[in-house]
Amino acid sequence: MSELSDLKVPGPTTIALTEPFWAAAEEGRLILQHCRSCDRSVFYPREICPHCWSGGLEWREASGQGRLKSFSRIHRPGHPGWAPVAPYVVGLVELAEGPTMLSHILADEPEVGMPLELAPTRIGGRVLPCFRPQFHHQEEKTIMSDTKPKDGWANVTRGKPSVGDTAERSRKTSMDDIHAFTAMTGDRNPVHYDEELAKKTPFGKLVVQGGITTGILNAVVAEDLPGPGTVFLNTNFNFKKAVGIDETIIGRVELTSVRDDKPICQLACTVTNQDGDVCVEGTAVTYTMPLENL
Amino acid sequence: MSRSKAALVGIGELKPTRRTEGESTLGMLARCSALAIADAGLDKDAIDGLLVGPQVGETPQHVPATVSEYLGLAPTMSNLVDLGGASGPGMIWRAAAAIGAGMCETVLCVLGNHRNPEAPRSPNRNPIREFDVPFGASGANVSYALLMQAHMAAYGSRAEDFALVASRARANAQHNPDAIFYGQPASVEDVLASPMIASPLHLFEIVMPVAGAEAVIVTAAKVARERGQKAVHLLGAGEKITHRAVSQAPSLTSGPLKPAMARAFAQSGTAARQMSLLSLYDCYTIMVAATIEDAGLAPPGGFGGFVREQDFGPDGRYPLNTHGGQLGFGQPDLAGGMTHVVEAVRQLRGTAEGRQIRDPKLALVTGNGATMSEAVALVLGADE
Repeated sequence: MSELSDLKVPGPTTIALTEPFWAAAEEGRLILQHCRSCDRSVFYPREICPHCWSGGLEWREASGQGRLKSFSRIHRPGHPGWAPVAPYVVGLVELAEGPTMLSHILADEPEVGMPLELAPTRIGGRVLPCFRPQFHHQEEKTIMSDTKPKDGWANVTRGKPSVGDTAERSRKTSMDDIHAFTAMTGDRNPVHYDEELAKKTPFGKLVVQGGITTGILNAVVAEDLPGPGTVFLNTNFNFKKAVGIDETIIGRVELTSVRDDKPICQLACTVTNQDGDVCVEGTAVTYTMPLENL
Repeated sequence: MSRSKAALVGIGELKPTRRTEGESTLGMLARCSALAIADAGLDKDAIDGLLVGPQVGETPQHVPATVSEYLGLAPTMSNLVDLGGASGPGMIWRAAAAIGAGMCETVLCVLGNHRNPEAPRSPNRNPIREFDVPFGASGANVSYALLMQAHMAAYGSRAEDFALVASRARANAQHNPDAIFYGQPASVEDVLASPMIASPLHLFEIVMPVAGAEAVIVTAAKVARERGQKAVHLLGAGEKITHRAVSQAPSLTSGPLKPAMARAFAQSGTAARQMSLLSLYDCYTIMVAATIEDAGLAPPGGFGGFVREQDFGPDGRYPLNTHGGQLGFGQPDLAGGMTHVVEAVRQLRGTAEGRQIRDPKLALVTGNGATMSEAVALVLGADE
């Protein structure tokens, strides 16, 4: 079996406009054009936004997260250079930012709908933005293989929840949170520490790291709903408003789907502040580890 | 016939062949055009309009002038129709529109290609070449495999039902001695046992590329009537383009043929269930499945039930691709889409020897190009 890096296959036919995309790919990154006028992401790179025809396109780092919309295992490649690695998988990746791109999929058992993550891979002479199943998805499949298919919620501490169930909890932010988060992650962004500077930014105040804001949702799913044993398989958050120090935030989840065969839920999530402003809004997928009778 | 937008009065077709030696596309277009004008009972000097397709590798630019010169024509209207497999049907309404606008009276619509061993193709420099090919996705098979996989995932549609579409096409090809698969029927088991090319597409679910040519002569309805010709009439047409690369498709399970067919039905005051013949573009089995659903002949995801209930033969309730379709007849490149027009003309004139449908009145013709992205639909009617 040959390696992808050994292939003699056609690389991208770059032009000046697309050069930044491929330069980023070579560094293992995925960047997308974003339209300043209509706030939508664009793939493939264009001179003007195909949604609003504005020329105000700027490059942004993509999350590298996506979902497999469709795939094909190629047994007879259209280009003979690919023959040494056939069969291989290509697929359509719906990126978290919105657009869909075709890519090489590094998966033995692809499934339509599976969450994917960026997996920069050398093909021929170049590093290309390929994709692979998200780590948690692989983990979930491993867990599944030794769980009984009948009752997906057996031995889950709180049992099976219902669609429409909600839970929330609140806490007050503090400067200690910022220090603790820096100790954990090394994030010393001046907007968290330099009050003079922060006041001159659109925030107008020192703000806590985003992870502190969304962190309350970790507590809600693990402590309240679906309860002990719960981990996130996927999150997709939009940060709408910054949270400052000494503010009260309320994390709230609502279950939008609950699977029977596996302890997996889809949730709608929000974090609001004491004034009722939505600071974070998004969706998540959770897996609730059965902890009873271990 | 007051509803007629134009009359289709002549057809020409070259028998498909797997390979050619030393042929030119121009020469094949000329032979096929001569067949069509003879079939129409006209002299070539009656032709004052010309619609042609792209001829990659032979005549990249100035195609209408090159073909006119070769054929000794001096048209007052000409154009290049570049809609992939939808080019043929796309020519028919354009011819009618040009006639209606007073630009010409009789239009030759012709498509064809040789398959000489060298078959030069020009090097592409476009977004598909830059953003799809480097990942290992070259050619149409991958695109239609992705569409088929998406359909199966969305609706749980079965490989057996797709295979039945191919098997039905092969069965109809047994009534057409010119079909490339004449003498070679294929059962569902045969289709599923044929090599996997790009999952879930098997070899027998993919058209066979062949050399060939197809031509249609379109003229004004009143001219056809004055000449006493047996005509087939264009009653309605629709067209829609949505994308080029499959990654940019707005939907993977429903295509631009849906609005194109809706317009053709509205223009002609007809409905899918009134059709005596379905002449549906069939580059892959998934294309027939999606078109049956987009036409409303089955609910979304429900094509399998329709295919199992209907045998698509000339004596059935819904004869579909009685010439074998491209899956049974072969695909002469861009002329493949015109085979569906030519067969509809034969059936509506009552000249489809050996496979004539009963009481032919209305035919739906569809054309499809690229990755379920360029669509043309026509409703044709028999002379009354």
